[in-house]
Amino acid sequence: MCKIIDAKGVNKSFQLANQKVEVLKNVNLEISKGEFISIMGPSGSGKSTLLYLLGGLDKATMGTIRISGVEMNKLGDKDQSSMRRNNIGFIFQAYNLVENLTLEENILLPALLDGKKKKNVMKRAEELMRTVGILERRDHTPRELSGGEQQRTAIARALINEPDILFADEPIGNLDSKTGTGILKLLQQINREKGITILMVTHSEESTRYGNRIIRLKDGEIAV
Amino acid sequence: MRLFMKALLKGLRDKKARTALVLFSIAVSASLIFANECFSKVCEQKFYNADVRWGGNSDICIQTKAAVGAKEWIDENMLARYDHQFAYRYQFIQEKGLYNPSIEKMHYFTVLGVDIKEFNAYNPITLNQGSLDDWNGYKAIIGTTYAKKYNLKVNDIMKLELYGKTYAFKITGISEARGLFVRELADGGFILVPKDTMAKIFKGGSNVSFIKLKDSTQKKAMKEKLTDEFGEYLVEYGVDDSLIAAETTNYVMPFRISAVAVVFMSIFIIFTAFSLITLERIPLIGTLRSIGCTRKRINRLLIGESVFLGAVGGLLGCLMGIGVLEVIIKIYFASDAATLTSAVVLNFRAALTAIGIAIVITTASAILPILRITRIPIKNIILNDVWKKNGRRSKLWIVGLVLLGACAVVPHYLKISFTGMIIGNVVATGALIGMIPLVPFLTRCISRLFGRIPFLSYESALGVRNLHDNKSLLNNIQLFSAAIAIVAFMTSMFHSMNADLIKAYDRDTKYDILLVLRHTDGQTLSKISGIEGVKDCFGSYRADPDISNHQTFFNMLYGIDNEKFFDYNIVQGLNSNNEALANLKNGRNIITTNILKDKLGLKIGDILMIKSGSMDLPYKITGFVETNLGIGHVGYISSDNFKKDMGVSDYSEIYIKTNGNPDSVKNNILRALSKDVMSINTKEELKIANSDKVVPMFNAISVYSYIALLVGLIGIINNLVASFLQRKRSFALLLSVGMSLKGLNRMLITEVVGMGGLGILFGLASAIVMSSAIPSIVCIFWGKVSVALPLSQMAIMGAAGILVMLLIAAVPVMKSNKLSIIESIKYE
Repeated sequence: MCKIIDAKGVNKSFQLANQKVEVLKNVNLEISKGEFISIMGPSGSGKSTLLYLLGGLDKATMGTIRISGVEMNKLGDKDQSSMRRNNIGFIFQAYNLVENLTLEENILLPALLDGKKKKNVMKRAEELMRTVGILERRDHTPRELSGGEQQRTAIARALINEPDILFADEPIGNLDSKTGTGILKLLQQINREKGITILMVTHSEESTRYGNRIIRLKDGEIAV
Repeated sequence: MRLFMKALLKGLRDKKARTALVLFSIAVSASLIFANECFSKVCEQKFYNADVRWGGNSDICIQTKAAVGAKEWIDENMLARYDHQFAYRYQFIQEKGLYNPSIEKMHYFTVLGVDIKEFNAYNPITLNQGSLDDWNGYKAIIGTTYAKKYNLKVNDIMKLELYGKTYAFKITGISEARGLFVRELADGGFILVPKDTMAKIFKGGSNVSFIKLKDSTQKKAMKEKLTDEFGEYLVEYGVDDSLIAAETTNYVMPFRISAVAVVFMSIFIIFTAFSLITLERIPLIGTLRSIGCTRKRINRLLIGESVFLGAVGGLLGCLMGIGVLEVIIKIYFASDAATLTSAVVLNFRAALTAIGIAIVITTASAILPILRITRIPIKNIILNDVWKKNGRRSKLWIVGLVLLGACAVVPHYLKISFTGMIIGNVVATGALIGMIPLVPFLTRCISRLFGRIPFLSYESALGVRNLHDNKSLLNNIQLFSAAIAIVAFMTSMFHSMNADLIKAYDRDTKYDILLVLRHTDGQTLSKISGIEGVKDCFGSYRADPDISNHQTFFNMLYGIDNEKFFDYNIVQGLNSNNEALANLKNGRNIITTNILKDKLGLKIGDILMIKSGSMDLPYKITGFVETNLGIGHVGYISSDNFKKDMGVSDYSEIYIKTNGNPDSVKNNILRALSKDVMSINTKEELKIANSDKVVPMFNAISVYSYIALLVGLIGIINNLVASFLQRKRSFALLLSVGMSLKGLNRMLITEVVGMGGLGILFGLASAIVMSSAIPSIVCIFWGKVSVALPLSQMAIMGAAGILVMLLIAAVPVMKSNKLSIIESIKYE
């Protein structure tokens, strides 16, 4: 299978007061297209940091990260932003929807930012809303929705530009178990039906059942 | 609770910029209140200085009348009978003297023959050159203003024409612009010479006497007694306290009105700043509530904090106020600035008032945000569910619309009166307040419209949308609109007043030259008519007496020979007053203006008590006309009555129509009448001189509106920074879904420019509506004006506003370039 993510010798450290904190230490990782990876590990092990580095939201202190063969660190703001719009989708624990936009507008956001015409992407947005089950709530704003509905909206938004990879940072962390299971099933369905690669940070062993590989982190290193 | 106080104070220390803004806003309000209080004192001081420049702090002044046949000299033997009741009395001779170095520089000075030791004892002279010694023969002391004007120094010889002969006086001293010389330009210049010399030249004793009573409380009784006994003289108070108070009110009122606008602005800024401060305190409040602290106690502590800020801001304001006062004095009283420094008028009471009002303003502005936050249930705070769900949109904009509508309509029905002025002020302030709730509604409508522009990038469209969705941006639009409205309204007010003055000259003045002569007689007018270029001329008598039964005064009381006067001074509404005009001299009759009629509630047949010296003369109103030159306080009586009652015989002014260029005719007149000319001005010169008189006042009051603008802009920058911090997370999530930094900057710039554009639009629109109230607001202290919008200044204001906003946009743009997506997204 073709390699979609390739991380080599990735290190990430922060300066906390006078102390240097090493969050990730020499992480090497290869992920193939179509995989559904669960990243697990105790708090502070560097799961989210790794996810954000792979997704280009943060920069590694050392090492290289290639997404579909492109080295993220070498891209300028314009190309990195384009990558985030078209090749990558993000789902956060706190949903991170734009509060003053309706669900429909939130979903359309990455497409419109990409310069696409609303009428050209509307059909796809409706299809996604139908898939994630929020079509009837399209004109509501995030505050008027439940957590589950907000997370479904975030998933639809992540998928609007048909990305190759979905990064999910504890997507069910704020949801009850029933709603969480629904979200995981949806991600599994997306992975299976669309062949989209998914990297999901989770605390729950239960969640890993929906994926096909687990990466465990401990003290900033991949545990063997 | 000491811990909570410590946390509050630490919060203030940590949010230095915010605390500084709140303190600055409070300080600005306090400084204006302080400056206003002290400015009243400055005015009192100015008028007091002006009043005492002749007679020091004496109680009563007696002088001879100017009328033909009146006694020339004071009978000192009669006065000496009262010497046991006088602490002192000192006399001098006052006459006009012509200094004539050339025909262009010819000038009439008031020459005072004085005993210098006596004069200096009661009305000190401050020399900056020369000395007071050896005061005999032909010696002279002049003021610094005219010394500079004529390049005269100590030991120079100054030739003065007195009583038809020329005498050479040696200058032995030059006085600073203090005491007698405090307002030389306005007075026309003084020269002190030895009394004996003057007595020899004029062959007389004294014609002015100043008296200080042993018991000043007997001032009124003594004045009445002397008035009865010295009927042939003018007996007046040395210093008229009630007149000083009236003049002070007239000067201070425009400043008080202007300060209201700035205080309103500060309240708005303090309110928004406190809203943000209290929002940040929510977690601390939640924690304290959850461990058992009562709501009342937290309210008390937070209100205590606002009182503390008010006191500190008030104190700072007093310090700032000294600077503001200095600026106002320098601009307003440029010529008197040497003697009128803030140091002479600063007082504890003004400081206490300013601090007290600062505390009230701060507490009143802070109380609403505090109560709103502490009212949130503990559960909601802990669950971070403190935001109101989107409910029905506020309908407050309807109230705003009504307030603006009231301002546009009500002033047209207001009469010229004190009540009218109050209502005018209320509706104008109401319009400013009404604009606040209207801004969100109009922003929503306009930004929806703009959001549909097809070529707008999506980031810009988002920026336009944020204008009405983001509370902080809306606050900024409101703040900027209010600042622009205040400045534009003030500009509009000054522009209207100035434009009216200039327009009135063209409209109401139909003469080309205004001439004042030293003496006039029956031949004067025919003599002038014979001068080359003079088409026609007319003489009138003029004074500015008090109206004692209405505690006001005439700016101009004319004594007119016949209705030909109105060919030179156009007055509307004459037709209905033909009979009144014809009967003006049949008894003490007066025609006055509709402004005075409305202001004082007068009607035909009412009596006006016109003050002349120590007498109150009853004049019956027989007609009303529209005002001349928009001044309002104008009256017309017959010249016979005027001469008799005001004790004058010379024309006060002569109006001249010319055949050719007024400047050439002016020179012809100067050549023909030379030494008789006291002053001569063409209409154009009068127009400029009048405009120059009001410009310092406009400039001084403008200081207030520019401070309002400055406070507004600082508030906007603070709000932008605060809103950036609040919105960091949403910016980060936009970046996370693929918005580029450039796109984010585009969105932020669109927001700021949109904010500026809408602020200017709403501000100027409000100013235009508020301008409807200008005639009623200014009528009391200015007279009748019609609104003239300063369109070019408004356009400049608009362009400058956008430019400033573009500069301000740099603040969030620079901050966004340093934004870390992860830190902002993970921050809860």
